[in-house]
Amino acid sequence: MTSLYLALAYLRHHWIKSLIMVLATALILSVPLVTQGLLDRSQNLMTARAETTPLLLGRQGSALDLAIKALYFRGQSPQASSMATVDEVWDSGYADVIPLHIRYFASGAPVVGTSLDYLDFRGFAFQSGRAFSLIGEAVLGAKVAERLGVGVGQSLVTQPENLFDLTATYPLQLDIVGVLAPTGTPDDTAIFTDIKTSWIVQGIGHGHDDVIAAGVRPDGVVIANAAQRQFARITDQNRASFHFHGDPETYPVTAIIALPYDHKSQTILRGFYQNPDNPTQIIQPRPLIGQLMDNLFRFKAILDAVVVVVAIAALFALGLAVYLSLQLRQPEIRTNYQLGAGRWFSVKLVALELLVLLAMGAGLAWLAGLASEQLVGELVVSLVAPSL
Amino acid sequence: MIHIQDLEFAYPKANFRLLVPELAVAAGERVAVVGPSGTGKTTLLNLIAGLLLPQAGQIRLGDTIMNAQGDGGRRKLRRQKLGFVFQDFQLIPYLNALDNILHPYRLDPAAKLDRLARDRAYRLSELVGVSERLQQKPRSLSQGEKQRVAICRALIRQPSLILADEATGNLDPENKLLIMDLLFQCAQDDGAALLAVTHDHALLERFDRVVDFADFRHALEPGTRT
Repeated sequence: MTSLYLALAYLRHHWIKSLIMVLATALILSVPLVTQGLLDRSQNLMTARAETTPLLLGRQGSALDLAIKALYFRGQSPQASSMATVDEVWDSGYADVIPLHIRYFASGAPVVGTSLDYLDFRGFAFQSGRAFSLIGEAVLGAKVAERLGVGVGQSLVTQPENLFDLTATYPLQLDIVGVLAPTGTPDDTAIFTDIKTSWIVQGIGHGHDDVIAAGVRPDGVVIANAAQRQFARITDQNRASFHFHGDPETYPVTAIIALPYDHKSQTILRGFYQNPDNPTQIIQPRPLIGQLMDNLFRFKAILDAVVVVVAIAALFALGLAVYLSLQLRQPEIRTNYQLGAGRWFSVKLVALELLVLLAMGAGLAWLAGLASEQLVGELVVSLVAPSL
Repeated sequence: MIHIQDLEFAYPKANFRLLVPELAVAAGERVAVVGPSGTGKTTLLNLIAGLLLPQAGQIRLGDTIMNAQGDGGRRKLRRQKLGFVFQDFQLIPYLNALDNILHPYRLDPAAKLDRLARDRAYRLSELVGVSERLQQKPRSLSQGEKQRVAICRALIRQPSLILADEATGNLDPENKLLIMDLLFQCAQDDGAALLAVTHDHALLERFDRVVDFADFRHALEPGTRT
């Protein structure tokens, strides 16, 4: 107790030096702790998401892009598949299908056009409101609602893909009808609408004033007024006027979640789409994301090596600080000797001081690890989901 | 209290040898050691304290022969029998005055830092006039206050021998007399022997006895090394 009392008195007296050493120790210890936490959390989050999604279908191309887009709504948009594929899988009788159309954003959050089945599939609960049931309605992820400070009864406007594209469709106003409870997944950062709504955003469907014929050409073509107004918001009054052009089989989908009824169905489906000549690819997200995580862990090994080198350098610096401090403390050590202190008294005192500093540094690193666990969760979500 | 006999000591590369045929200081006696610089006065104090070991002779502290003890035994004797007052005070900079006074208790695993010890620290600090400054660290104390605190530290464990190495060397004339009187008073109260090295002749008449150290210094013959 006596040595501890003296050690603490010394550390208090030289509080700036003590603080620097505690912070340095904490930093050395917390870097591997936090990175390990980050990777563990990333692995859990990404793996869990991948594990709950048995099969994904999309256009041939980068399987990773398809998985990242469909699972985390982030990254490059893969080339679009079509509703024909959705129908094809559905008609095969091996799986339920959930189409995803992820192309546009509203207030920085991705707009995910899908069916109500997606909400059931992910097991969403509602903080407030209800699911979308009509075109023009949207359900917000918890973080989107929190960040934008909006809720049921308010609205958001979609962002044009390219500000300089004069032929692009008008932004569409989305009416918020529900806010999801937090899930801790990328769903928190997305806006969900019916897939038809996202097609309207793309311009495949639209609503406008009734066409009033200004005349009929000799070849029979009806001439309409060029100033015809297109609706930028879907209301009860104009909803009926919204319609789609073209063959519904060609309407785009970014990805298709397939939920096979059993293992056999899954195997048959995979076999059917594994032909490289087939324009549709089928992937199992779990092994793909596992591979991605393996790469991340390889990066972690490099990071660990760097941390070890930095830690050794920092330990040398700390060792130098301790050595210089001991030099400055020679008069005190000599006084203790002259007053009859035991042979190991000063050694014990210095060791105890270092132990206290290390313990405080380790404690601080542990607290930083705990605190960062939450922040790391946020960071991982922001890494794998579009930044808000 | 101290009895030195046939003491012989020389530093490895020095050209003189310290020879003390006999020196005795009785309990409660106040002895001044004088002599020119470099004659080995501080060396003698270090020999008595067991910080140095003589090449020959005997230093007896009470019933114990100091130079026959091992390092641990000599440390123990220092802790339990000796009180040191240094010229430059040698207070521990990160401890306040009270903790500096109590420091010898913290150095001795066998000592109990209890209420009695604290009461004694308060009493001593009142006696030397620093009771109002006990919470201050050395950097906030004047030279005189530092030396008073150092005296309290030397006396806190009621040593049987006080060694003072130019204890007033850093003080102004007024404080010198005051501090030396305090040291005498405290030593007398505890019945401790006092052996003080000093250059200050004005203080000598206050001591019971004065030992001139010039008598103990002997030049080594060329080529002689111990």
